[in-house]
Amino acid sequence: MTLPFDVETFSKEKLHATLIALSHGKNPAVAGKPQVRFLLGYLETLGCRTMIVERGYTDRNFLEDYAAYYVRCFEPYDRVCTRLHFLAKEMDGKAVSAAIVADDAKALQDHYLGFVVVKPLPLTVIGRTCLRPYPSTEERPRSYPTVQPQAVDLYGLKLSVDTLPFQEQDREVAACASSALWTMLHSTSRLFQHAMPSPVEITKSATAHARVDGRTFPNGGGLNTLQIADAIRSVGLEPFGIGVTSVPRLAVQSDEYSESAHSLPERPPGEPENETPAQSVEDAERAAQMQLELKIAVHAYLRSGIACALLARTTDDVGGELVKRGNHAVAITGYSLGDKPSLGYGTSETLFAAARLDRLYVHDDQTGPFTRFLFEDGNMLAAEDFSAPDVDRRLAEPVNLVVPLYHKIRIPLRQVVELTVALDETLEAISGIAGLKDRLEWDVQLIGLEALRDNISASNLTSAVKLDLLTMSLPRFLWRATASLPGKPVFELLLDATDLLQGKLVRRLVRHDPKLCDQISYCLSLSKEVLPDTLRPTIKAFYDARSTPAA
Amino acid sequence: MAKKRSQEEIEAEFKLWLAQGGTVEIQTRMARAKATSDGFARSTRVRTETLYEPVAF
Repeated sequence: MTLPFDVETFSKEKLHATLIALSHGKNPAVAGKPQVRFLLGYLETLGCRTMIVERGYTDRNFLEDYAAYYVRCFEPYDRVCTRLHFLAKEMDGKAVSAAIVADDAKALQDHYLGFVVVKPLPLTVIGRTCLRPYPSTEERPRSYPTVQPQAVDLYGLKLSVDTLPFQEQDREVAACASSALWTMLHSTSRLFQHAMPSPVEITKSATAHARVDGRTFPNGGGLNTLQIADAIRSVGLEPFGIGVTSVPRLAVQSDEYSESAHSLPERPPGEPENETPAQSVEDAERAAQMQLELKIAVHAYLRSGIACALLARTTDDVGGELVKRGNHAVAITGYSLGDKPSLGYGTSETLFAAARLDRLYVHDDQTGPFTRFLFEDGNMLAAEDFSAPDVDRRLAEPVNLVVPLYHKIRIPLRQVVELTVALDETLEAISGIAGLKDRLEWDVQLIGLEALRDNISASNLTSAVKLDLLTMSLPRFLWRATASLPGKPVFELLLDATDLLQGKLVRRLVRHDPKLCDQISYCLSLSKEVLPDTLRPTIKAFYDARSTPAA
Repeated sequence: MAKKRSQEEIEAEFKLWLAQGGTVEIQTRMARAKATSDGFARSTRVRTETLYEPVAF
């Protein structure tokens, strides 16, 4: 009896041979693609030993694209995909068959790394990819707030993988922005219960208005920021843009790696060849502050589970020469916090925990899922996993961050930063008398009520405080600003993210160090006449918290 | 070990500090906080020219 699947020992040769065999026209170039190189290395790092080839897999996303585009080609492209499953355990066909018959999902689940849908196209074969992220270790703590359990049905075996789907752009129905949007909307479709569009639907909705040049399909030209915003609106969400560019300049005219290289533009006539040291220091400081703003925004929004789109300009280091490439969009899916001390933000030098972010994990359709973007000096990110012939290093200079928000999340980050900075300066002024021995570090995040309650349940707060907080009436989305001294939180402010811009925002102060909070409260109450009105609800929250159960 | 201060002692100490320049210090710091948050708001506003990039993403 011929079964519709094969079980293979995982190896580079086997992966290459399988992908080539599944591509349209059995294209050998598939094996040399950067996405395939990355996939191989990634799976080896995860300890992959076995590959199950599930033939005849119908993928909804590809089917939508097929129906809208590929089916009309003269060349007869196939509409059925193949799904490759990966296991960190040696198994043979007999063992897999036995697990299927016995409905023994556990035999596979403990070692299940995820799957890749292979599309029957000539080159861009990497379809919906759901793989486990890199594990978090003591040396490298990693956080992936955007991953969610993805159910997998393998001939009746109910498997699951915690992931966020990835797929490469096919340059026909989707460019890199469409792929980033597709990943981003996967994260929000479950959070905010909206329909999940396919790449072709994303591109169509993005280009429905305001497209004055180029064509919708093939979508080699990509999407601009306004079109990305339109695609987000099409699913009922609000696009929220955050500018994160430090140097104003025009984009280059090519976004194709394979096209001829463009060197950096020459300095305009009359401009001095070298910057003065003072200018150079000023630019470096400016770039560092811009990078910090990006970190604060990513750290604040990403932890609500929303994958954000990072739009960037890319530059390649080719033998020491910096060569400008094109614009590129990736979806941010995770981050890692280093132990470097926080850099103060702005003239107030407010310490944000986000400053310790030293790398991002992004779904980069030019490379793969959960690829590493390392923060570099000068508001640059280095695409650590990017590989291309002759390129030593790829750098990305952030332009905009786009966050798809549920319409009820009305309070923007800048309003929370305003409150945080004002409170930080106030507490710094009164620190001597209030008993604050060190500068506070602020951790700002957007959080859903359900996640907040999960956090409270798992916290070290006393049962009385937990009961009080878990049963209180709170809005569906909150901003949470936690102030900590080295190693211990002092208090957290819960702000209503759904409030009016002119609202009082502050819903509750949670005391982690009640004694210190009371001392702060005495001082704040006495200084309210000299403090701005924006701090009054916070002062009241400190006052009200005195009568709540002690932590 | 430092002596535990009562609420009244903290308040008295704080009033004295306010009278001896604390008020001015708070006002100075509030101006600095405003400059920082205004800077954040200005800097993170999406620049119009980036909306119409000649090369898309």
